[in-house]
Amino acid sequence: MRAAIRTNGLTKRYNGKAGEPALADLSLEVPEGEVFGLLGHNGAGKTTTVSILTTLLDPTAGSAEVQGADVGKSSAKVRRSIGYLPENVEFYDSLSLEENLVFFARLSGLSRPRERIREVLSFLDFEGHEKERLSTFSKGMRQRVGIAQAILHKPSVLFLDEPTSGLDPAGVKLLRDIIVRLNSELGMTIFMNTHLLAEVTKTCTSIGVLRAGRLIYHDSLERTLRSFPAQDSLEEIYLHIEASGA
Amino acid sequence: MNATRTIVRQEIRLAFRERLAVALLVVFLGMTLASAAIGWSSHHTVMSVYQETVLQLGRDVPNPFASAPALEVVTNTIIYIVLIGALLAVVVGVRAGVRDRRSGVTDLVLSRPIGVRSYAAGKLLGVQAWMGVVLAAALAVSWLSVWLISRSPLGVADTGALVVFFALAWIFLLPFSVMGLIAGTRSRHESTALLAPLLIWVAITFAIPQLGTAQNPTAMLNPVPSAASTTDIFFKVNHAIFQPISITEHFKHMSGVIMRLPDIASTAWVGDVLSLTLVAAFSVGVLLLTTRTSLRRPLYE
Repeated sequence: MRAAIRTNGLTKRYNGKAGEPALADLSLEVPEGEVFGLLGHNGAGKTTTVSILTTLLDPTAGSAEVQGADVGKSSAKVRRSIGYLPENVEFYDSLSLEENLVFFARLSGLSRPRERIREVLSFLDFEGHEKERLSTFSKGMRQRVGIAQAILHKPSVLFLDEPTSGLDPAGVKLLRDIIVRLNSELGMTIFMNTHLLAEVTKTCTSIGVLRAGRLIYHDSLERTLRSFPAQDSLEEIYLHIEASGA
Repeated sequence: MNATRTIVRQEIRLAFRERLAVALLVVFLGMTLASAAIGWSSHHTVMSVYQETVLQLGRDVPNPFASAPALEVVTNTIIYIVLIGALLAVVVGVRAGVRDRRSGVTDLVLSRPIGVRSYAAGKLLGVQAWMGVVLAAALAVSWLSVWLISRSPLGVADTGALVVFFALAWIFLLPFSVMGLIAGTRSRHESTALLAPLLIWVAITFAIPQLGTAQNPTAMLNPVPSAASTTDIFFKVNHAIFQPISITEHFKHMSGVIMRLPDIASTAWVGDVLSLTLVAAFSVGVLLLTTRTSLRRPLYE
């Protein structure tokens, strides 16, 4: 299967910070149609990885491709093919949901944004809030707005950075269902940073584990669960990988 | 181009929703009205003195104030643009620069197919479009004020002069908008984002004119500077260094020429235009050097 995301020796060292790089020699391939979960403790390099893949950050060394386009040399092409939901997503609170989405739709080059917004809100089961200002929205509602802006332009790859962070259990379940549907119904490849392992079990098809900027594990979820029979849950498997380093 | 236009629209929409921007617009229009009121008051005073003098002399003498230009009553608008207008441009620029970083949408915007230069240009055009709205409203207020005071509408030539004056004001305010935007998009702290350009505004408005036209120290607060008078070498050197970048002085002088105010030499306006254009172009150039990294810099309270 064709790789939606491919990195080769990807390294990031932040300016003025000596010692270990934030991301070291990351070589990874995520095939099209996968839901890939990148796991790791806080500071492991997950957000740095997503920032490079979404062209927000330049790597210090190595290369990365999204849908065959180099993130450095063809960044505009990459941006056209991706959607991005950052951690703790925020919007223009003084504007309504529709005004916010029209802005992002136009930035993505959509000529008839309102039509597409209706479609997306219907897909997310989020109609009826178009004229409400975002200052009145709950965290869960904001996450759905975040997903809406990320898929307006029908991207083939979706990057989600800790998408369930700060959500209540009902919000987590709702978002999980949306992620699964985005993959199964719209065929999007999803790259998700998370440390909520319960979510990974229910949504991801493959996982990778980052520790101190290095990828120490990468395999399909199915094989992972089979390869560690002594561990009862993904949580235990993850802790085992973290402790042993592979 | 489409992305830039989208940013421009967004900036205008957000400015109209912001209480501070709207409050500053109201203050500026209030000052424009005050300028007309002061103009009317001084005109009324000198006319009363003239009539009283004629009465006491007991014979008719030519009225020396009858030939005063119609736009003289709104002369104070020049100084309000230098003071309040520039401050308004700085504040609106800072707010536009800080807004996306504070609300956390910078990453969302930069993950869309838009270049950093298009983004910065869109922000600047948005701020300047807002300043255009402010100046257009001030133009309307000035025109109506002169009509009410003189009890007859302005002629085509004077209306044209007023339009050119406000167009010049728009160019004059450009470097201040840019300064605010640069500070807003690059400062680490929200407080310094506002403080830094305010300090530069103070320097440009008060210090540099003093050094550049120090031969005429009171020029600073006059709507229009008068000619240099000292021959001291210190002032001459300062004048040579600072005069080209004393944009407030150039603006005041050019405004005087446009409004056909008395005692204004209308010969040196080419230097004024050159200075204003160069400073505006330089500031836009600096803004367009903005990088993705600087836009994504965290902003602290």
